[in-house]
Amino acid sequence: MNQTSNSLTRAGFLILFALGSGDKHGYALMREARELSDGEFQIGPATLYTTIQRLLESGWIKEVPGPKNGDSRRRHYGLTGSGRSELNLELKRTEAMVKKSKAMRLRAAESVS
Amino acid sequence: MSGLLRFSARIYDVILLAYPLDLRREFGPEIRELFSGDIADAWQTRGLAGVIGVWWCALNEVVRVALPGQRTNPAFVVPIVSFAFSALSLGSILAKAPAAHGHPLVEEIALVIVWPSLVAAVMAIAVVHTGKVGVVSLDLNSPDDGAPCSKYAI
Repeated sequence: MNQTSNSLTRAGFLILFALGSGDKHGYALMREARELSDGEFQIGPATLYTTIQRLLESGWIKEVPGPKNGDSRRRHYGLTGSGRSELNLELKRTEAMVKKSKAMRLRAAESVS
Repeated sequence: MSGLLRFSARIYDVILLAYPLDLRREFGPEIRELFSGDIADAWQTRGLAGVIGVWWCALNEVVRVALPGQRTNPAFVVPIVSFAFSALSLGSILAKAPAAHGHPLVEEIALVIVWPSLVAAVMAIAVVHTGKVGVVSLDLNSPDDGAPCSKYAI
């Protein structure tokens, strides 16, 4: 059974986000997730693979073959169709939240003045 | 420095035992490799502060990921509960017993509380692994709904 959209955690979102630009192995995912959050959100190895396990179970990511000249011990992961839809949905939600927060700040500024 | 990195990897191997078995089976070698790579990278780029940062993150994960992941695992929970229950019971007896010479000594505490509690925990481990507990079911995984025991906080 797939996870509901509401249960997508921050780590899950960052992993989907990182996979949005292409297939990656665990280490690359960890580094990119840190970069995406400007180093603010540290994903450790256990958190990363616990989240990967959940995303695999949810059907949002899948294991994919790595590059031919790459390290064969490293497993690579990629987005599935439903994973990409979920990522897009989450990005739209985030955009909507940012718009709302901007609007609220404007209202707050108006009420002060 | 490679000695410290190897030592870190060995300690992390022990810490990994606290994680749920299914996670270790599926991703154990990758988690270990990722930690080793991360700590080597942190040493090269940020020095000792980087290594401490990686360790802080790893220990934080034990609390936030490993322990919640084990909360429905009888092989983990039952011995801990047995130890705690036994230690509390025996500790309260020791506290109420007339003290022959003031406060109980460390040896007395170990003799009356710690060792019996450890025996209780070991017996609990044996019971969980043999799966025979008489009329009391030890299945904490709620078999009615068939839920897997691997429910993580993250």
